[in-house]
Amino acid sequence: MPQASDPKLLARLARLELRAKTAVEGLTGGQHRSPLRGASTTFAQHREYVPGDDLRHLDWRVIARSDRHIVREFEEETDLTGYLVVDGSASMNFKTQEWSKYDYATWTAAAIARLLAIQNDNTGLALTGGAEVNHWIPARRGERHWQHLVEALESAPVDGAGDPAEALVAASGRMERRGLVIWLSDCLGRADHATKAAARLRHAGHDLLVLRILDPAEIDFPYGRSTRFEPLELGEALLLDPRAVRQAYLEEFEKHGAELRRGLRALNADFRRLPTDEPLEAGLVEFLARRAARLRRRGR
Amino acid sequence: MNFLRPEFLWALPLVALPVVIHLLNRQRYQRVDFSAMEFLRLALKRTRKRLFLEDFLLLLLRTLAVLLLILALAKPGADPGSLLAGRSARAEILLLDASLSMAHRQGGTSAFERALAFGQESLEQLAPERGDRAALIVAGTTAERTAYGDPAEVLSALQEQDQPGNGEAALASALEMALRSADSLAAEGPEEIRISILSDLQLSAWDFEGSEGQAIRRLAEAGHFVQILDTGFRKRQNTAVLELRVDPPELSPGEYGQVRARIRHFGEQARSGLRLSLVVDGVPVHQEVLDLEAGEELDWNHALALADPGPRGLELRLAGDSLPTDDRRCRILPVRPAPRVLLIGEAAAAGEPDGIRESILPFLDLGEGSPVRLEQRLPGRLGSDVLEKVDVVLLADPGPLPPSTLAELATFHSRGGGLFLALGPRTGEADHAEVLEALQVPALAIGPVVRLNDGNAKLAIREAQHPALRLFEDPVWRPLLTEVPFAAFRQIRLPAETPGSLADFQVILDFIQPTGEGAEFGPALVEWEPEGRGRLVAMAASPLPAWNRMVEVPGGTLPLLLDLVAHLTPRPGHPLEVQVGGSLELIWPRAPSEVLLTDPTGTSRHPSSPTALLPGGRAKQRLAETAAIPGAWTAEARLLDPSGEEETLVERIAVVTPAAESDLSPAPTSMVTSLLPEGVSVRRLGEESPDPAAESTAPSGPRDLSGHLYRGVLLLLIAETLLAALLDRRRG
Repeated sequence: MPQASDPKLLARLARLELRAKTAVEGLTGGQHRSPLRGASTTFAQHREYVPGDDLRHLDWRVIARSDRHIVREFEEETDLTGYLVVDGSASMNFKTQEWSKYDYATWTAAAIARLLAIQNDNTGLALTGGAEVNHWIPARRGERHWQHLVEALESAPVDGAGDPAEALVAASGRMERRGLVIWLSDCLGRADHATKAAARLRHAGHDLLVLRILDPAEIDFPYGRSTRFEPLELGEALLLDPRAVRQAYLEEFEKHGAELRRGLRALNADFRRLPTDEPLEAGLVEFLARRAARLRRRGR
Repeated sequence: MNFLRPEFLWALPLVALPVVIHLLNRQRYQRVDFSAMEFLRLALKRTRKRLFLEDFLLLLLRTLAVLLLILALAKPGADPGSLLAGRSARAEILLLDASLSMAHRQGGTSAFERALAFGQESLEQLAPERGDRAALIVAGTTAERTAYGDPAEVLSALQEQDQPGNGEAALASALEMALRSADSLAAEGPEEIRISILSDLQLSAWDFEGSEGQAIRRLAEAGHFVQILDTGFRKRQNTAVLELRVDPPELSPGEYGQVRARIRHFGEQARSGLRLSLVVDGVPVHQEVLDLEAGEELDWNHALALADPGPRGLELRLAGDSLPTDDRRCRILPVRPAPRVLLIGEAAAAGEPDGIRESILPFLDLGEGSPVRLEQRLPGRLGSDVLEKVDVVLLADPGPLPPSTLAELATFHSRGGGLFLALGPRTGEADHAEVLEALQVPALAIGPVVRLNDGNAKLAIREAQHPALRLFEDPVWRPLLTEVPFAAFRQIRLPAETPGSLADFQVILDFIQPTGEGAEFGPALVEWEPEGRGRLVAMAASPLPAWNRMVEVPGGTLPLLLDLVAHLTPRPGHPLEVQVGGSLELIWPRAPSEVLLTDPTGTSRHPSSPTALLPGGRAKQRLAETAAIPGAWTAEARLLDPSGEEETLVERIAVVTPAAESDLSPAPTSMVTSLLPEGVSVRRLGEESPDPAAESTAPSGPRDLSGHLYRGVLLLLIAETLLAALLDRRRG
């Protein structure tokens, strides 16, 4: 039975809204509302201490009275601001599946926005194309805002050429408050540009989660016979024997990925590669983990 | 370089085929919209040079393969000396003609030495480190592969060949040996096998339409390169003693015989002042000077009488010329004392007509100077010591013989003594049967007396060449034998003519009707010559006046009688003449205690070969396996006579050269070329300054390179396949 976040299943769903809900329910199915416990200031309940709990949350008064190790749990905080920066460059149109990288990015973005809406968080959206921000939706909360975001994602053109890192920088300039920036892009620009953009965001006090959407063919380069490669963005076509250059391509590709990963990690930004043939779950879990970490830091 | 199938060169543009296919393949591609072009560009930048080299190498291999294939189909040929001919491992087989004629000298060298020089140069060009091999086959009187394998060893063996032999060359055998050697050398690796036949191409020795030609054709058909090099000289003058004989071949002491010789001058210019010597046992007995015209053959003769008995060595010598070996020829002339004949018979009783004994005696017992030394014995008074000193026993119608006499006669016959059965009326059929049984004569029977009351019979010669009929070759004397009328004679019955039964029998004379027509009356004279024993004749044509009706000349057949006795006299069981290369074998009357063999050069040795005993106590001994030196060979043996005293016996054998070797005329090159396959090279070595090195590498027709090219195509295809597989594997 396919997972709710399986891209094949999602691809069959006609509307992005429905896709996002399906993906999120697939991830959180069976749980109550507000299942996520965090480090907000609104007390929720006591519970037994288990190794690994933050010692700061021990309730010393209860311990003194009952000699039991009890920790305090709080209702999650709902005033997190998440900025979704979705790369709509022409290269995101590339696909060897039934869906393109952009399709996958929009599904992921919609699902994350759904999660933010569920948590009552503010969500902003930047739709970029090449180095430009094509469409900007300021951060708001609520069901209607989410639907607005979804409509924007569905209707945005996928076009433009340029380094997506520049678009990220441009988008950061429009962010009114500090928050969690989720950048959905193939990151096919220069790795140092991406690192600089991330540094700028970090410097502005944003937290950054980079979800790199890649087609499996970009990762494995599975072409066999003589092929003329037409660029989706800029540059000249290349006619070559893919088998002859495959090894070198993979090396260059991995080198770029490693440089990107290393630069982002150095900035304490999270980086996750998302092949479009993998379930959305990976991206969502990454987002949730990042969100929890951010909330922990804020509770300090 | 040239091409045997140049029409294939029109396909040369096809060498562009791999490039065209490559370019066409580049037009057949899929189109893909791709995102990560930057990485692709970087990858291409990194690999462009390597990819170009790999593609270039593949295209080069494919193009070369097509090119070589087209060239191979066109069958290119390269001169053997050219660089294109390459230098793979090769084998050199030298076939050296070591016949007598190769000793022909001119300008300080001989045809044989020229052949050796050429062979040496050829072998020195071989390189063992390249896998070169060689073989040396010497065609003497027998063919012998004297060295095989390592060129250095073959060269060493060649250098040991200082002079040719004195006989003919076993060329056909040597060629067969060369073929076998070529096959075995080919199996060892060398691709090119050259057979160099070094010979003076003597016309009389080479049969290019026969066995030698067939062997050469087989060599050529086997794919070997065959070259025939005439090492002889352009002008080939030679004078030789082709034949030497004595008529009669045996002489009595003091008897005159004619020494006859055939001397021939092979040459285009007359030769005068040619000194000739007749030498007997090393002592010149006659000398003269000859003048010979160009191509003249002279029948020379000289009367000779020798006093001392024994095997005498005659040699006729010419002054040496450019081929000295055939300027002398030897002959053994047996000078025999009169044979000792023992006549066994009884005198006719008083009042009876003369018997055979009485008829014969007057013609045999001639006293001093008689051709026979006659003794008589009665049938019953025979002792063993008597027969020891007798050559021939003549049974003159002796009547019944006692068993002891029969036994003595059998022993005498088994050691080679001759037996003469003169058939008369006195001895009965049973008596004859006992004699023949004692002598182990198979199936021969003496029948009763046949009397022709109303007619006569006369003799017809059945074996005109029989030695005993020598006198009657002359038509003057022949009637003495063939016109004598016989009214009576003993019947002789021969064995039935089954295969082999008459092998030892010879009917010399027959009784026939006087008119020469009608039925024959049967054999009149029969000879039986069994292997290893003495001869026996039975003569029904007995010289009895009552039977042959020649009252005036009752001994009409008596000359025949004397010649028969001479014929029955034991001879040495060995030939008196052998060809060079033959073995020397002697039969002694008794086993010798010591033998000394001396060759014509005067070198002596004691042969160590064992003796084999023959019936009658005789001993057979092989003194030399191969007699290589022409001339008179002398064997001196010490042996004990029947009385126990030591005696010395001398025998001689003449070793003669083949007369055919004296004619040095070469087979015309044009004729040889026309008879041999196209690929066989025939040429003459440079006469003035032979340059074997140049000759050995001289072009002899283009060498077919297509085999190399096909191998090259194969290698290129293998390399292309391996490279393509490697690239495929690396490129995934």
